[in-house]
Amino acid sequence: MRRIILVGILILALIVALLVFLFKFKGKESFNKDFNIAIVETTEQINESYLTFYNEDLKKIGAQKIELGSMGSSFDLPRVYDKNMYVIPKGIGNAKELSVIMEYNMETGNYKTYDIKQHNINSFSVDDTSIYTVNTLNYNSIISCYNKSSGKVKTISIEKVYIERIDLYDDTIYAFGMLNDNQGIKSYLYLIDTKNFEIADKIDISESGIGQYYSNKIEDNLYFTNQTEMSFRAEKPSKTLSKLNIKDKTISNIQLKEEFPFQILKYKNKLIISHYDLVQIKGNKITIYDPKTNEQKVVTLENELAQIHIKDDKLYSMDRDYIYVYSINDTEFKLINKVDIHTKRESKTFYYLSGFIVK
Amino acid sequence: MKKCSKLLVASLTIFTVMSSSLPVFGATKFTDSKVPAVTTNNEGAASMKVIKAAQQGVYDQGTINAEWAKAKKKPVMADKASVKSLTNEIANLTTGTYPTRKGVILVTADWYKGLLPTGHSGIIWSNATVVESLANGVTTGPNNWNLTKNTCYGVTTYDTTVEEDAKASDWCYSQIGKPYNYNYFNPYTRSTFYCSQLVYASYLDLYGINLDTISYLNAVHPMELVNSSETFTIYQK
Repeated sequence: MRRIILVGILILALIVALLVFLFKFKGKESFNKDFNIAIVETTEQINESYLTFYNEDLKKIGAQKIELGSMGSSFDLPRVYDKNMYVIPKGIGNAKELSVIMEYNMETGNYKTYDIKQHNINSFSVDDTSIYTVNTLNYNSIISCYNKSSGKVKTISIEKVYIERIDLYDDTIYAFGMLNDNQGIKSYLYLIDTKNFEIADKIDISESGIGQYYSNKIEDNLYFTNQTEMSFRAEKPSKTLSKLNIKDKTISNIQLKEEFPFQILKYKNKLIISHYDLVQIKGNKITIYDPKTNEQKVVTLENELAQIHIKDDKLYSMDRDYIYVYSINDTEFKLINKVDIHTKRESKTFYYLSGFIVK
Repeated sequence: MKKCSKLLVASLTIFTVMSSSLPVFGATKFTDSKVPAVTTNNEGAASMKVIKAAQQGVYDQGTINAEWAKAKKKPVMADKASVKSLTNEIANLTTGTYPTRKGVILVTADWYKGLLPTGHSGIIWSNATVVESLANGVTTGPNNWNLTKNTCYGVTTYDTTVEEDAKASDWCYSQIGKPYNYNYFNPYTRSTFYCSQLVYASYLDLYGINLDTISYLNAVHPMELVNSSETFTIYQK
């Protein structure tokens, strides 16, 4: 009789454990390698973020928790290199204690972090062997080169200049920075040779403007946008798209019709430039610019353009709540789908959408 | 009965293991980087315990909630207009617009794990950049608090010009690299800074404007920058 009771207790415990297991993972979503779009939802309040996965029809097909906080914004959008997505996770908002770059494998859903040992990273770039980052400390900006194999870090310090963004093209880091003192703001572009990891050139780009948060190298030209410009000792919105010829180092400034140029994407033989004020988080226009004829056409889209991406004649775009897909027909953009992607809106913790990638 | 106990223990063990130690599907195991342990240059662990206990007493949630309720009630006013005299342009004077002017003080009521209980503050250094003191000391970050924070206040002082505000911001910027001050009751040191102390110190040292209020003893809480009679609110989210 006693044995029967004991066996009964054991079976009961196993049933309870099974129920707990099923309850805990009921509806629990996971990585889905068949995704077309991955959205980053993050918070500054705890070390936690979510990737949510959508297919081509914008149907949600999975989600994955990442135990890292403050994973980006329009200032530092996720980047894709090879089969990996990279993001700067800064940690808790009022501490920004993390000093790492996250590498997320888009095929397996596994992620790891590379500890650069520099806090509050402003921007980063990646190549086959290294991760390059920039942060500001002791009044100076520190550009770090982290070797992915050995874990060794080399640094370059640039005194008194605040480097906001770095981009890497063909073994050269282009580092955009500003010097902000009583005389006003000066902007500089540093060219850093990655082979020797040393500054190869410094170009004064103050005439172009302030706040370079995007660039794109097309043939021999480096295009970059400027968010603001100096006007009588105060910053005012910029309309300038700049072009650096990397052979002769000359800069030409192209005046666009709209303010706050941000992302520059190549589409066929034209450039698509989004107009978005990163600080006021506003802007729903794009300029279609023909570099050969200098012709411009402005198109107004239906959403704020926190991020745009072009793939297969489609423009993907995100605002603070939705992702939108537009079909592109020459210079015509037609909204063909949109979906609410803010899955953590009702959470007690405040989450925001910080960026997306298209596979 | 012994057998019964053993079986019960075994069952409970299975239950515990299954319910708490299962991996999250699709994610690799990650060891969280913790906020560095509280350390100070001159104070030992014992005195830090006293400080932390006192902080817990002063920063009780009831007081904090009452202070934030007070902050919420402050009217949102137009920013200073003296930019016009310099540039003949009126910059960012629309009431309630998220501030971009150099020298505007930013405050959030958001709760965070670790550091100062509830809230954070910084000062705008350029259109897109904020100076703030974090766990690793005084540093900079993007001016995107309207996106990344659930609550946000933009405040400025009555008795300074926009040029003086800009100088206060430069003063904060010149402190970059100095470590975090974990002793919230010592806002007088200039070798270490916590977030609201940094802003408070710039106005006190440059212009003799004291943004500390009678709340929280001699500690300067971020909300005091909003509730101070020396400041007015120009933005609220």
